[in-house]
Amino acid sequence: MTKGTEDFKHIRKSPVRIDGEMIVTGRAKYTVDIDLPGMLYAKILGSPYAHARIKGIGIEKARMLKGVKAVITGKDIGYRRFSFIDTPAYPADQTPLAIDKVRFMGEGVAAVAATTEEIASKALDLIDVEYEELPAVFDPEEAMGEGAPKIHDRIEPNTTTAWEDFGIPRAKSRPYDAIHNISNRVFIENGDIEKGFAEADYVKEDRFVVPSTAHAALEPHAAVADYQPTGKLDVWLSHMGYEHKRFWLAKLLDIPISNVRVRKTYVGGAFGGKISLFAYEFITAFLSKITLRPVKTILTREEVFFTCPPARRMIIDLKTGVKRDGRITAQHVKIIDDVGAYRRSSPTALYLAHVFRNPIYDTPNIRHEGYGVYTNKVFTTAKRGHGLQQMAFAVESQLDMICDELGFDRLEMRLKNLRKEGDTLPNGDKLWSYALPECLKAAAKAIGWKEKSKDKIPFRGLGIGTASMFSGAHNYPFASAALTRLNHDGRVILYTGQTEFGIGVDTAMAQIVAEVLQCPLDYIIVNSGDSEINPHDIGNWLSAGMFVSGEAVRRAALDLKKGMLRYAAKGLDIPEDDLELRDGWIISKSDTSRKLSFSDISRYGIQMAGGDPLVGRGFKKCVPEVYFWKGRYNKTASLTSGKGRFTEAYGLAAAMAEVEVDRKTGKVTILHLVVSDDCGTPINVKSVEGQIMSQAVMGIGDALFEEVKFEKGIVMNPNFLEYLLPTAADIPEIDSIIVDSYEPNGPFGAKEVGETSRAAAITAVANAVCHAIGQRILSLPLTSDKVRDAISGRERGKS
Amino acid sequence: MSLLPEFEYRRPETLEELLVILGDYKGKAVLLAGGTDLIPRLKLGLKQPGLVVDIKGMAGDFRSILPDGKRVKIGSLTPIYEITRSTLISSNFPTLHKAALSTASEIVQYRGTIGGNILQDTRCTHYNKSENWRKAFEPCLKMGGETCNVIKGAKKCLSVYCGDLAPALLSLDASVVVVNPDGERELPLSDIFTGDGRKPFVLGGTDFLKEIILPIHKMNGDYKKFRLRESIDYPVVSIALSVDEMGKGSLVIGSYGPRPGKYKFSSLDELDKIPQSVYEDMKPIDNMPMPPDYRKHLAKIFAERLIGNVAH
Repeated sequence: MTKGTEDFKHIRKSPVRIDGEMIVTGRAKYTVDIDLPGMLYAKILGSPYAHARIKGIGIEKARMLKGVKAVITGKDIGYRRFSFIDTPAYPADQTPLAIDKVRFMGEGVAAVAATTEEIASKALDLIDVEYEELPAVFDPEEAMGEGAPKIHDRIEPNTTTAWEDFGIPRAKSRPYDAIHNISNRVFIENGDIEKGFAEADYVKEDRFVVPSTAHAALEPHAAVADYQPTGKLDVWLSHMGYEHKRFWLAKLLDIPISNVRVRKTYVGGAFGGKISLFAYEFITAFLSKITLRPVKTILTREEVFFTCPPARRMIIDLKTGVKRDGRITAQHVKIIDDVGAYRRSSPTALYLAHVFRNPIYDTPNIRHEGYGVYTNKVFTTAKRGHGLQQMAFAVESQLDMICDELGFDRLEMRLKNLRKEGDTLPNGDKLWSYALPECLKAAAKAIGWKEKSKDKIPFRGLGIGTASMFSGAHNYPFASAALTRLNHDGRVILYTGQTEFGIGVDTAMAQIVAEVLQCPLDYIIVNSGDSEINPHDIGNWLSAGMFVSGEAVRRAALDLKKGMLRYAAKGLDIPEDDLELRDGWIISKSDTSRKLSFSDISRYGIQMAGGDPLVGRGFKKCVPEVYFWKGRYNKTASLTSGKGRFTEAYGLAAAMAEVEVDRKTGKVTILHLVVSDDCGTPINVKSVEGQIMSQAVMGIGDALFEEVKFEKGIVMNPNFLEYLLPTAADIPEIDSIIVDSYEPNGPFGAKEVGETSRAAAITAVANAVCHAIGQRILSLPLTSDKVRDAISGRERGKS
Repeated sequence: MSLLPEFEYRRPETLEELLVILGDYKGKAVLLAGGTDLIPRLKLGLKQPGLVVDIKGMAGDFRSILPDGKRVKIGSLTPIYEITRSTLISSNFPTLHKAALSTASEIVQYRGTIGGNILQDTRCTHYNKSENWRKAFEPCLKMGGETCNVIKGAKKCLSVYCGDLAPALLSLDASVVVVNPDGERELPLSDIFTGDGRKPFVLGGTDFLKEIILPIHKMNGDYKKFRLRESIDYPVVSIALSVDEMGKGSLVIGSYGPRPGKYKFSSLDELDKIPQSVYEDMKPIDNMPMPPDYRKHLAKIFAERLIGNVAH
């Protein structure tokens, strides 16, 4: 079959979302809508200090308040640690409530469950906490220095990691000493870095700084927990994948994972920030366990800013060598990841900062070093392209600087260094599909790169950004399964563990089943997001939803189709190879008058085939070549050395921006932004365009507006008045171009789409601004005061 | 979602009823009109009133824009949106019309009133925060404490008045009518500002700002604000300029300090010198989202630009 030319009935179409009516009529149930009989409301008391020893907590007055049903402190929960990506070398380092000391401002020290939210709030005021303030450190480089306050004592692991549970043969989890507050390291080397720089004609070294930005999901973070005395826990969460949630809830509550049921909810935005367990979720469950009543927690926006991790803050020292012909010979990356009070996914982020750049430019010699460093600030996590946008900003900014110095065309220089379809990366991953050159060319055409590059208009600028992203990786929970069930009315229920958090995944999965079964879309009913009903699922992270779970769904549909054809062949007495599925019928290709409906097949199965009403199953592993099982393992990807297979397919994106800068105020106006995304086959075109558009908008926020600001560890802008999300009035016309390549390993040729474009958009806008003003700004965001300072710096330099 | 504190709530139907309530509560009551400034402050715990008096339902001309001889009277409960729609306003007072259009966002304009906008409390990055947030700092002057968390040792609160309409109204020499249980008085709008961020207005707890009066006097003018985003945001700095056919008028800077900065001029030559004075006069206080030097710079640039657009 020629690439991407199939005549699809449901794929590469834009049907109306199957849950659209539920959402727009307000009938979709979000976690905040869940109300259970006898439900209590929880509130968590946060620390007013960034670093302090807890000398004592008086809870009696709070406990005596009428309506209060439980007051707990960290000691009641005990030293049960959790994390996001914990490994044997990097054990979990966080307790749900602080016990001996607090490490960031806002960290929970006690919690209350009461009959109303108002009473719970009042009870918090009655809790007396005696603190001894400790010297705090907020700057990661200071934290690494001699004599810096020590944020963590030796961390003793007290839970096994998912890797151990699945049989990783290496050493058991071991204690961790955070010497110089270093929480984790990465060291990846490909080629010979010294040789690479020796070969270079020109070497450039710079430091780039990227602050935290918030996920800013519009739905407030919330949890409802209902614990039964039998040891069964039901939870409703605002999340993006249930396996991580129930893994940690089970571990911390010491109950079997199957006893934790994460119920289906709609989710009002996640953006990578809601995959790992939040402390408040566990606290809600714990309060339900001790009160034996349902408990609900809703965080305020400020509490989200204070206690839920924003995106990673990185300082990137970057050294790049190039030949006179524009070829990159070597790159040395040194990252300081200011992780905040807890490590969370820093080991992954530092690794991803490398692997997400790997598929873009063919850089023969690379050294990639990174340090996660504890500081007394809220900890950080993944946000739509974990480590990607920080590195994209650094690398693409520096490439522009090199082009300017050496007089290269910025587009030509990039095209010259790109990898090619079919290339094998140093870790063994193969670029089966790779349309980044086409992405760049499409964006260049749409923005008029060639014409506009000829005559530069003062204070107007053009910029380019690129990005790549995996499509699932070998990370817990490693794989997805799906089930299809034929009903005797002929309709098919799909069971998938994917979580509908606003991206249209239910609809896209229904399209896949309808395509395989060649039936109308309304034959398909999607049951998703319930951990007890739906099978094992990777979740909606790692950009794995479509590539991994979508393929599992396709296989589950194929399995059902196989059974349907088998019974139809018997029922019609026609050989299977003369049968096909068409418009909701199983029909003879040679004699179209001979056919059975889906309903007939189900009835046939029940009556004539031993009571088999037909069920299909499918599964897909993120990276089949990687496994560990009872002491055997094969090329397990190492986060710290970068060795080993990582993913089966890379999504790619390019963006180009044209901006105008007000010379006197520094205010940036984006005139045009083009984002082209190689996502393989777009299953649902509108959803894909929406993904690209939303990333472009988010990228504009990162580039020009957004930063979680701190003063002595406290978030200075913990609300949407001061944390500047761009408004509709700040968003220009955006072209989203789908570059429809065909990924042979993905369902109908699809691969990731949700995470690349943001980084590409950030860099395109930032590079365009710097091009406009003829001055480089090495940190994000490019706020108007910073831009104006850069302009006046340049003008002072001239005079 | 943040919770509202408990308070008593009354909803008078007439001005007389309101004045009785205000007299009874002697300064312990706050007035609720649009609520766009008050409700967030209540949620943040910045105000703890004994009584909230909802004046939206009062009978009378409080929601009207009416000509009155050589003047126009605007009822204080008139929604900002009505001002943006009024041809009486746009044809006579372009400065006010532009200021109303650029206030917050259209949704806020539906609800927010001109009176509430004028009496908007001053703002500071270290003050307009939740009770919980503020626990990490000493109580500041505006909270009734002794310290300033922005300038060490400051004795005066320099929190910033960010209203959009007042600068425009000041440039038009507006006056206001204030009623209280003792009677009614008219005073120039410029006289209601104290210049002290702790208590930015002279109005007392029993005062009700009833109407705004604008003298009809042929004025050309405009209003420009620099905000971080093209909607919603308070001005980082704003400029209102009204100038008559003789070249006389006023230029007023918003987000300037605890009160707007008003510069009168009697010729265009005088006007041209104002931007530099603004730059020199503005105190560089780091209590707004943008650095103080940048704000001073913006005020100058925006004043120059507005003068260029309007007067030359």
